[in-house]
Amino acid sequence: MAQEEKEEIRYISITDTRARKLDKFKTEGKIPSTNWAVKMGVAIGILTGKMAGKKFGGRGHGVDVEAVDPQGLFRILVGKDVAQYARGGLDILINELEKGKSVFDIYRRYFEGRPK
Amino acid sequence: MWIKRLVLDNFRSFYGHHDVPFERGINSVLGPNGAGKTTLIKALEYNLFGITENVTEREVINDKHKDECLKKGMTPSASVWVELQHGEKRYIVHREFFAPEGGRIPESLTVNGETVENSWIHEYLILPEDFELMNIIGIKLNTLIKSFRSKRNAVRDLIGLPLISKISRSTTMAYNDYVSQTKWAEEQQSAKIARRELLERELEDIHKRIGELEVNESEAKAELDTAKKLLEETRKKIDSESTSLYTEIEGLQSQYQLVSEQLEKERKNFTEMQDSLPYFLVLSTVRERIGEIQKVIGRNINEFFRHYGFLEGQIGALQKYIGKVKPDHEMKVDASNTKKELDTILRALPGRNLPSREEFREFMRIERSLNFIEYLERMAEKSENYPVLERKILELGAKEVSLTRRLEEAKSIFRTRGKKTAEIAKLEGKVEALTRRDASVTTELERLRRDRDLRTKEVRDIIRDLSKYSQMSDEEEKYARRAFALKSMFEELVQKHEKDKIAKIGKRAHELFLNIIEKPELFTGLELTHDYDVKLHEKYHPKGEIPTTRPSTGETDVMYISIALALNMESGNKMVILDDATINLDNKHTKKVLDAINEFGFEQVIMICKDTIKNLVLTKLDSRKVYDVQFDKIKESSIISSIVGG
Repeated sequence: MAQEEKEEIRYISITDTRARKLDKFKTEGKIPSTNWAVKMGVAIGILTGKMAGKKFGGRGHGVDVEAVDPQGLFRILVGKDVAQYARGGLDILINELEKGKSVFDIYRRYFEGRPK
Repeated sequence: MWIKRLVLDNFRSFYGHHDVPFERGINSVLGPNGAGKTTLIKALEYNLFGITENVTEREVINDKHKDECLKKGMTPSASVWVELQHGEKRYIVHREFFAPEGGRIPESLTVNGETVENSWIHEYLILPEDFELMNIIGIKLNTLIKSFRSKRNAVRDLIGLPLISKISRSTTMAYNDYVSQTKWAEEQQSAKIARRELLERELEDIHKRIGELEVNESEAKAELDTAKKLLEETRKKIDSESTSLYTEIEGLQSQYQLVSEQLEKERKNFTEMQDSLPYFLVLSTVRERIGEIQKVIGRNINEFFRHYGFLEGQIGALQKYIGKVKPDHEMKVDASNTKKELDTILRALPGRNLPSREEFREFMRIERSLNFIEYLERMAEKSENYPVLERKILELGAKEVSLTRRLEEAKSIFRTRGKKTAEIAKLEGKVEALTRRDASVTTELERLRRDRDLRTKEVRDIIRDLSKYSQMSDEEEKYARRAFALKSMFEELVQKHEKDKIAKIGKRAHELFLNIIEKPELFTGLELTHDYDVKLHEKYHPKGEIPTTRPSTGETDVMYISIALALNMESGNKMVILDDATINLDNKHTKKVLDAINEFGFEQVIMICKDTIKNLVLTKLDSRKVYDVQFDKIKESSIISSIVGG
């Protein structure tokens, strides 16, 4: 953990389970891509303040941070905690998608409920 | 009648008295030129007919006798006695010539001692009814004996031979020409008729073939037209199909392109929007956070930059200064010192709120992100359009799919057009084959028509020629007219001189002449010339045509000797006087003439010859008397002595 803090964040670990689920949604056409889902996950995580445990997951399945947050907007907000927010937000997103909600419905919901 | 004796007294070259007795049969007088052979004939002529020509005194009276008489004071005179035996009667005709008086030679004539007139001889002695030739000779002996040429001309004139012969020849020639022309024309005609028949047969075949081919041609043309029409229709149909298909494909393609572009654009927008959706959620928070950061570190950063900029300016000035002079150790030390001072300044900057390196990086990142954030903010306002955009994309996608399908269909139709092209090619091949067939038929028809025209023209020409032959060609007509004209002239001439004895004789002579020419065997094998040899004659003139080539001098002489002999035979006269008649003849013909004279059995022949043919005459002729005339001497030779050479 100490090493992660010192080093620049390069990967966001999302675990194999999440990755498989995202793959499934992607195949079903519910999400445009895994990176996008991670990005959405980060946003939802930041909005809801939901963070996944640091011990959860690991290096099993990861996505490139530069691909998810090329402009570093998320990192302005949460810095090195971006991966934890991502995992937390992804859980919400996956849950919502599994309920049959569309991407735009989810967006609408969180956009309406965002802090003004 | 025959001449029994000729007596000369001082006549011309003969001085003194000369007694020349002749006998019945052949009497030969031989001698060289100028010996006096012709003088004997002259004596005979002057005695019987008087001097009818212009002669001088010298030509009658002997010069030597004249000289003697002048010396003696006597009157010179010449006398000629001719004793004639006419049947039982015997006449002694004596004529005496005196010296000329006033250009005329006086003469006295006595017959059997009685003085008579010249005409007496013509009336009583030489009677026309007794012997016709003598009549002729009696009238023209003067001319006859002058020379053989004159003699020949005289005979020709007398018997009217030139004209008759000419007429006859011309007539015969014209007739022969006419016959040959006609024959030629007939041959030509028959050849042309045969040719015409052949051509007509050929024409019939050609017409038949043309008829067949014309049927074929019309069939071929009809078939070709049908095929062409079909090809044209197919082409039109396929062309119109192709055109509409092309238009459709083009339209579809442009539509597709339009939709694709639009779709792509919308998709891009959608993707951008979709991509930005997560940012939209945190955008306001980010804005707030940036504000805070800027607030916290912004002032310090500005101040920092101001001092830092000042020091950097100093370093720049120093470096500039160092650049101007050659940098030595000291200057380098100064620069290093200035850098150290800058660090010191940086460290000695007032305020402890200087941003950390991390903060500074963040600040810089925020600065960089501000534009993007502004963009996102602008876009976030449109985020409500997201479902519309999605729907639109779906619609466009459906439209694109439909267009793709339609395009695929049109393209598949277009691909099937290849089969139709093959159909056209097949039809074109058929049309080409039919065109070739039609062309070959047309070519053959043209050839046949050309042949037909040529043959028809030839037949027409032949028919025209044949009609011409059926009449008479200009040349033929000319010959025919000439022949008829000459024939009538000849008949007229004969008719005109019917009662004229000369003409009668001439006519008879002409017949004989023709007989001689055509039937020389009538005259005991007397051949006119080797050219007129019977065999050769038959060879060159197998149909008895009269030779039209001009006879040579010798040939002409032979002809006239033959005529003279023949006329004598015909007229019953048995007396012939030949004065150098064989002068132009070669040995062969001389022998033949002599043989003829022998065989014809004349009552009397007086033959005057050059002494060059003496031996020939002596050996050939059964001469009763032979005289050698040697100038003023007339010497009788015996045959034996002559032969022996005495």
